[in-house]
Amino acid sequence: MNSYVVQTHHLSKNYGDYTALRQVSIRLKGGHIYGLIGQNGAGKTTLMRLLAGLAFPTEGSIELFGHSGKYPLQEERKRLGCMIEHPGFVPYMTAKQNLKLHRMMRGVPNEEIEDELLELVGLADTVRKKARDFSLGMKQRLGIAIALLGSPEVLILDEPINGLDPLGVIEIRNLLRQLCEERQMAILISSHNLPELYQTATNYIIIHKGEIKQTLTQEQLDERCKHHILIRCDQPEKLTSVLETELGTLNYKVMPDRTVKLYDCLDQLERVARAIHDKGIVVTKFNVEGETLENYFISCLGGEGDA
Amino acid sequence: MLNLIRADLFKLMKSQAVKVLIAISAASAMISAVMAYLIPLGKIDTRMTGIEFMFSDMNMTCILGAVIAGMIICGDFENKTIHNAISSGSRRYAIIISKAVALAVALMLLLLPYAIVTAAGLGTGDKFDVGSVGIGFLHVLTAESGNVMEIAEIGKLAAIMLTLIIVYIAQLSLCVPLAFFLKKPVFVVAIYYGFSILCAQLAGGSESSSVLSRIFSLTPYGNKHALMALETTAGDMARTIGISVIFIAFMLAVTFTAFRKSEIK
Repeated sequence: MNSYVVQTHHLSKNYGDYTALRQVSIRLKGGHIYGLIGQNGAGKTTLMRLLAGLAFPTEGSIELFGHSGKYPLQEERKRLGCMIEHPGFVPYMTAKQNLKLHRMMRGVPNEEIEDELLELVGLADTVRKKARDFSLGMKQRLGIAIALLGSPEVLILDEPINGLDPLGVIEIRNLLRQLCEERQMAILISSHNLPELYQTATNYIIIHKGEIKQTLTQEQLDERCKHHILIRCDQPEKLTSVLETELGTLNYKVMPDRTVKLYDCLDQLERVARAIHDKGIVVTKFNVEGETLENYFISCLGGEGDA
Repeated sequence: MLNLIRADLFKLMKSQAVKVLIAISAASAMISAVMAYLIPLGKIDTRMTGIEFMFSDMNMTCILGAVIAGMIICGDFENKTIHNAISSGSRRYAIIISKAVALAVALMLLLLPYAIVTAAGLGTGDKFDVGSVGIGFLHVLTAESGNVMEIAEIGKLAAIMLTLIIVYIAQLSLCVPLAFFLKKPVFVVAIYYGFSILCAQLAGGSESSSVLSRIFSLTPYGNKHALMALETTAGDMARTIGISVIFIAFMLAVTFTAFRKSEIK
């Protein structure tokens, strides 16, 4: 048995003529938080729904904890916690009653877990308040608490920080990190809030128009988004020659728009500028820049950013 | 599956709406009994039996039962309880059965006031009569009130009332596939109520058609199954229960056939 808790093999999902997912293969390991990034309609929720068993793939297969097939998957889903699209709860019940209901459904005997989870997600003081009267953030917290019932080994959360206040965002981020580290949980999380996702995830899956564009670790992302000197000039070919001969570096990249990204000499700006100027190159832009996850994501989709 | 049933019953007990529906049922049972008492005394015009039917167990069960089915099943699609059950590994057949059990329990609670009122009415020894609109519990009250009963007859009446409850549950089991397919309570109530009116009309006319009569006798919608009294034989009761149980099983099988591969939006 391999160490991947979730694997998909060439997963496709069609709705009539529309292809929501195309040949998606991903692998998730315990102890990692996977940020699923994509535009609206990219296929994030479809992928999550397939993993949760709410929809069926047109092609391909899913493997949970090394098991595949209809009945083994149903059995292994007992080890999953999900909150997909918006949190599900019974509106006329309190948070605790909702947790009790879902605890009973899952057959979890430990009643104390209800109070523990309410404490964990910050809903311990909502004793008599019905869930229908909760704010959006409180509903999200309740949804996360329900997903955490039964100590799942894989957590699937679709936009979990929607509606949360800044403090709530930090609390949920810390909670997810804690769960990931202490319980070695695999967490698949989608969010449009990329700066926040950058602070939470350890791995990224970029999905666009139903296809996986890239999967990368935090280190790989940092490497690709690392700071550089962006140089725009009238003779890029001559500039690269100067960089190699005068500055002795090959650590640069010529971008499609003919700008040059120099990843070396960030602390020697004057030396770089002088070397370029001395060779008679006219510079129209000379900036120290660093890409954000947002820019990187846009560049992956073939937008204006560069990657 | 037992976990799901326990959870559904817990949810049912916490529902204020279900309590209100049971209160409406209790009030309707009282009103129908009072009217059935006043009609033979001549204090209410016999033409009022149309209004009497409005409060009858047959009519109220059609409306309130379909509403409860909508709440229990469609409500769980809306609040994503069914989504959570599936994503946490519950089998789809177990979900269907747990909803059916919760619906059956809710219907029993809904019919309990009529059973109590009927038993109380028969216990007074007074005459109750609603004329031709008496079906189900009201028929028992009309047919057997004013008579002194022996212990064995009381036992048989209890069995009849239990059989009637099973018949009603079987009739309402049609709401299970409706609710799983349509997912909107308003459609479930409208379609089921329309269907029950259609059945009542057809069953009324089935006396002139042996084919129609035969078809209805094989479903819980046949008049014969809802018109039971002390004269009904044990064999007839057993047949009615058998037909009802088979009908329920058929409805659950239909639901499973469609739901097992359906996508949950």
